[in-house]
Amino acid sequence: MLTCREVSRSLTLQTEAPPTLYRQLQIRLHLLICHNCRRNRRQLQALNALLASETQTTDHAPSLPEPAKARLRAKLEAVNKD
Amino acid sequence: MMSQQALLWLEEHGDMLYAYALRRLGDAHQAEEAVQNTLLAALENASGYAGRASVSTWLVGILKYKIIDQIREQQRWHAPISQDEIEQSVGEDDLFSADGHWAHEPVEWSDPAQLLDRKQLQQRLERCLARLPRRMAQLIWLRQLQDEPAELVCQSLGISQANLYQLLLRARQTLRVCLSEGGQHAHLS
Repeated sequence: MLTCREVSRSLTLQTEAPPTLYRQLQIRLHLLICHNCRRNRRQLQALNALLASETQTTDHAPSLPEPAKARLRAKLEAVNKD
Repeated sequence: MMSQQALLWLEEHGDMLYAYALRRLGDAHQAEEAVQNTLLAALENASGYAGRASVSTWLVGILKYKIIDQIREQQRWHAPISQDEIEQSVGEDDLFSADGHWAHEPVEWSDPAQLLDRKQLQQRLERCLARLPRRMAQLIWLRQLQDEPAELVCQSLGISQANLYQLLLRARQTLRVCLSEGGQHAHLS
């Protein structure tokens, strides 16, 4: 029987280290009887979904500070002169 | 004449690009550099812009690669996890007791009376990311922006698999715990 620590490790690093079929079965058995690990899994899945939609997000706040904008303008104008 | 084009991009999309980069890099200087690299690359490849996507989508596409480059190059990835990083994040030893059982059981992200909508969760997540040690937050973004096998990530960052796993595990579990606490803090003591 896997410990909660082992199950959590597998679930947290699922993308990088996909569990073997046997391991998946062990995890599934553990999840059947452990509500804490089920909650951990649910929250990790929700975190992934949140991060995925956050990656798509573009907005304008905070805006580019004026000094930085001026530096960028100067850099781009310099390209023209080359 | 080409440079005029880039100045126009800067005026029209500079704020959006900067906000995007700042959120992922967590540093104003790095964000400015990413915007600069993006506009210079866009200028060089202006002929590659076929008009299929909107200009802003095209620019964000370039920016993503510039952010990935910067995350790879600018962090001291090979440095061992510092005491500060350990204190500001949650690891397996914090979450589990010696016998492998939960020492700090997962708690719901909100009480049932308080239904969180997506926007509120998103705001919480941003607070939690801002509080995460920068290296861990950047690693989270790196994984989000580029779906690469772990071995390649280790290669490009020059770190061992054990280190990658340790950083990722701490980063993700810290965010999970932080979201339970309303984005306040992620300390378990």
